[in-house]
Amino acid sequence: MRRTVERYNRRARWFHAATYLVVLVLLGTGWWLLAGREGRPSPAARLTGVADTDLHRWAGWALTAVAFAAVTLGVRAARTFVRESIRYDRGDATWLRRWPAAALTGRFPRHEGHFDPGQRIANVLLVLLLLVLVGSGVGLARVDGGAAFVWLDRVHRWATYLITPVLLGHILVAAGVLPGYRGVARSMHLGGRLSVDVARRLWPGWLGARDGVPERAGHQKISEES
Amino acid sequence: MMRASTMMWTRGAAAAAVLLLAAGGLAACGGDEGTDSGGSGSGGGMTLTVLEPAAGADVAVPFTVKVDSSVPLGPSESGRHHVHIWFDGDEENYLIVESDTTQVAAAPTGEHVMHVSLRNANHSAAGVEATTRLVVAEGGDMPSGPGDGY
Repeated sequence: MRRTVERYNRRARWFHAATYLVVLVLLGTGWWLLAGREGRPSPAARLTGVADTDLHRWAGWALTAVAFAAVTLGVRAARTFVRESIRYDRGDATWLRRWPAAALTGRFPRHEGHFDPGQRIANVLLVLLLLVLVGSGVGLARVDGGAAFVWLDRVHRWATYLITPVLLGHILVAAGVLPGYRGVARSMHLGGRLSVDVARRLWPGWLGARDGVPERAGHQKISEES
Repeated sequence: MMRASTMMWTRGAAAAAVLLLAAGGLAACGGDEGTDSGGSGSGGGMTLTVLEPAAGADVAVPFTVKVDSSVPLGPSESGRHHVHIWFDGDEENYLIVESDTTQVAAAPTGEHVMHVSLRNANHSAAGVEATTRLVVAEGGDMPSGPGDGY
């Protein structure tokens, strides 16, 4: 029997999927326009028959709606996400220092909480930059031109430059390409059932707390679910 | 019997769908565009005239398009207006014009309608569009539209 554990419920997985599908459209069309290819339809524009600028604008409104849904329909989950993303525990600095090697070997130091210290930094950066992008994007859609447009355009561009490497890093880690992160993609996809071995390797504190083991007390009790 | 959590999720999904549709509707709202088929257009106190080529002219690529805009043109980053040029109904495939003169390096051969549309810095239509009928001479290796040759 393969031992698995559910790390995110169905609702969280669908929210994550909706977010990244919209963000991928925004990233693709955004970089297409930044590369000076406006007026030449991208593959997405050819596929949909919608100009890249319109596609980008519509996807931006969709992301705004997703963000609004997160803080209204999913307010409890959003609160938990924020609380778990800004926590700091003793030993986090050590975790971060040993992270580059652990990403390759899989020998991660123990940490507590739902997210590892690297994820927490990525979460904070992603949420802040997405808020800046949504805010400046709404402004760009509503302001036709002039000085306000120039500033919003600069903010939008710089936020794009900053968020792109963070997103690429997140995709690299989440795809499980690095040896230390093999199998991690299952936590958000294909039913959301993650191998207990992978969960123990990456989120030992969360797994232990889930099984009722106090923090830092080790985790002899193993979750067994089929 | 439907579980309470399932009902909550269904209600939540329905509300999210309504939000998405509302956002889409908001994005789709646009103003009417003042179109003129005589090589000039006006709207909202702004005007745009195609000075070259003349209506019905025979042209061969590359050809020059000269416009006279009542508002200064420039790149989007400057916050100024710019112009989109496209042929017939192929509005997604366009050439961006950030000054009064540009060269069209690619155009479909035969008789076509050239659309010249004044755009706000954020690419939304400024409400002024001019159309000019042209006959583009055959010859050369033509991409499908002006954007392809940009």
